[in-house]
Amino acid sequence: MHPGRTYPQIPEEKEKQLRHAVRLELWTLFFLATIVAVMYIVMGSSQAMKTAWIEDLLSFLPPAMFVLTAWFERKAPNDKFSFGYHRVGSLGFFLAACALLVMGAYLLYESVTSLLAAEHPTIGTVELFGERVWLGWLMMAALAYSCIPPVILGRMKKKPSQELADKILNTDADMNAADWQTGVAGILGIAGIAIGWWWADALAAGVISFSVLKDGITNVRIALAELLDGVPRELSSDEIHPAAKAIRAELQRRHPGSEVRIRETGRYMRAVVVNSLESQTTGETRVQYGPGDDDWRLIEVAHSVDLGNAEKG
Amino acid sequence: MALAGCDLPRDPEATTDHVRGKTLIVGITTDDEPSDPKERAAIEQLAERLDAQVEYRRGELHQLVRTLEDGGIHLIAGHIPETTPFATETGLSAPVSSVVVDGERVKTVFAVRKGENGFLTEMETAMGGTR
Repeated sequence: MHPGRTYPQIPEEKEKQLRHAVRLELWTLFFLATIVAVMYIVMGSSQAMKTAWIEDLLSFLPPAMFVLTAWFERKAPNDKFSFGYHRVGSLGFFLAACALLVMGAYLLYESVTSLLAAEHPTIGTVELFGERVWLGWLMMAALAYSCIPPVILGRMKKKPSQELADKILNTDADMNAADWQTGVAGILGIAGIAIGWWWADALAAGVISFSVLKDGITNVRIALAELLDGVPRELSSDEIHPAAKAIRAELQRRHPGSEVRIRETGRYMRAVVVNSLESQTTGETRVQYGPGDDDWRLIEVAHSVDLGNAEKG
Repeated sequence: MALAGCDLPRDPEATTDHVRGKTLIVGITTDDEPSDPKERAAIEQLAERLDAQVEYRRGELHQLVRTLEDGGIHLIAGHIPETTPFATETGLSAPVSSVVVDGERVKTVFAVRKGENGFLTEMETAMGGTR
């Protein structure tokens, strides 16, 4: 399960929290699989249920990315990946954030188009134990089941996501919130259809889509900041993380007149002290270290602080 | 039956109410009434269940679908395959019978006005009695 636990070394306590989070996500994947199966059985030809089902499929992405990242991100660096694999976390977070955004957009699109087209959802019956039962009742039962695991698991993820500075886990908690909210909306929608309100389902989905879309946009913005080597952001807002501010302030205090470049790679931070933010290697350094024709591409050469401290080795 | 008894689901356009105690108007494309005995039986069961007379109206399929969408007729019968391209314009019932198309046996359904879930439930419950 853990090919590499070497790079970087993290405190015992964090190690434990990470294992706990992996277990949470494996449970999430398991329950998602059961939900997808149950929903598929009762889906029939209902467009509304199909939408809910596609959302459940999208929900696989964040937990899958989390487990993949936890498994991959601490593999030791090698010749081909000299920084290690921390960026797996950045990539996973970007994909998870996109999943949330796509889900919100899809919900809104389905809702608006079916309202505009005055789409009357048709839901028939199935034979169950010799009785004809309206499929809507079964759909409501399936949707009710689909709400329970996300409510519980989503709440359980909030704390570890803070402790581990884990954006994928945090996005997944948002996804779980979206899941149970769409579930409740779906139940209300089908209850509406039962009493003859054809528009109830689409309207309920539309209302939910706004909060999902908002979470999706926020997360994609944070993910883009990370991919663009932005200064580390807070878990669920585009604000600069207080820890990053503190590191920058401390480094500037120790190196008066310098600037600090700081970015995050997955859950880890990297800082470089430079003369100014526009600092780059001089022509001289380039000639010294550069590889001939490609020397213009070398813009930074950095020494790690700990290299100088013999006792830290 | 238990669930149908509590009056839910209902029709947004009240098809069941229009039929009950009055006339069940069935659109049909070929003959004067469906050639398939299972389809005829299902229609008669439904009419009996809703205490209505059956009236067949013959027409061209596209015209029938249009009339169905406006509520002018209540269902379309006559070997409609369950894979019909009219699935987006109409609501389809559970399979009633089957027919052989190009050497392959295809289940056939009735088409009803979209979203009339109460009427569809009445119909499928009535059909259950014919099997």
